[in-house]
Amino acid sequence: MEINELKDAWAQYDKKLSKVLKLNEELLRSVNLEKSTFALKKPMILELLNMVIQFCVINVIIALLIQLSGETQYFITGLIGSLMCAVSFVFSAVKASRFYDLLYYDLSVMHFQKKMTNLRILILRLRKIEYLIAVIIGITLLPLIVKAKAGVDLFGDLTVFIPAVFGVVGLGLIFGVILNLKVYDKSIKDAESFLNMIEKFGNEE
Amino acid sequence: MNKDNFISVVKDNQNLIFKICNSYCSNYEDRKDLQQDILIQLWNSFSKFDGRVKISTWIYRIALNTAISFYRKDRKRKEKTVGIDASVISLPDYEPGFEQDERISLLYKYLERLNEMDKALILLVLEDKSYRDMAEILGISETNVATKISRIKKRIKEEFKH
Repeated sequence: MEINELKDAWAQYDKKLSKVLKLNEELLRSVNLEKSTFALKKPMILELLNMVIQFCVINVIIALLIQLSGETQYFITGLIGSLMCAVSFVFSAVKASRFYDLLYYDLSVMHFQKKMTNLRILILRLRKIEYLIAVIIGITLLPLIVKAKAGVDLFGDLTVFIPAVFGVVGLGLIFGVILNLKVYDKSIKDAESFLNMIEKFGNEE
Repeated sequence: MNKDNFISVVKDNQNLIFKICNSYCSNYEDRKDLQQDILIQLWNSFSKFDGRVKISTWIYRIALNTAISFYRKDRKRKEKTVGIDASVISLPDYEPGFEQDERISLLYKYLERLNEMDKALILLVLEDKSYRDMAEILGISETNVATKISRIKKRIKEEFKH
């Protein structure tokens, strides 16, 4: 069969569809389209929310550091914790701005899909780092909070604190490696192969 | 844009939306969800239409971009954006077994096996779009479109020879 025959068949099919397709106007009118549009922006909103949370955490750390001023070990852990929060804040800002730039109407199919896939790869790569950051934030903030709120000095008995830290880090690393191999690496590979396919599609002359 | 204008635009392009959904999703539930995503993206985008490209090019871009992104979403993580349980554009008297030309059934089966970009190109060829329109919608050169179409012609001849 030649392409023109298929085009004719497709045109006949289109005519037939024009006769039988029904648009449920009532249903479309009843849908809150603004609310649905908001739902489409959920990934960007989540990143903005994460920025707010990180900002609040940094402020809490600063307040705790003021409360525990003069204690070097808490100053160092607090500093590390707030630096990690700041890094996480920047990551979320980068992702939110990239989501904001992702306009379905502005770019051709190939350019949009490239942009979308590059963003997906970036998110997956950042997630790997964010996971590590979350573990570090947890470890650095725990002694600070326990000291400020319960008055217990976790640095007082390092024979308990250090093995506990190693335990948490060890478990975190094992879980992280599994997560990377089973989820993130696989998804990155899949996205990269789609990206290659798009590149090839665009470069063939 | 008000809702009346939007509904009128959707009505004018419902065949296109229906065919794109059928080409990218083989099951009814997915087609319904994709249809809703396309409608929401169209609604979200229409206020920004500035006439730099033809309205049909604009709609094709949005519909194809949404369809490809939807198709590539991890199925487990696929979330509904709108809580509509019924199809907005449907074949009320015929669903689910809308009788169609056997060639169209074969064509849909053939499209299912293609990658996302080739699928988009063949859809535009079937829609009888000009090389220029295809190049503009897909974001490739007209020479590239011509090369691909000549290849497609051979592939289709081979595929549908029986």
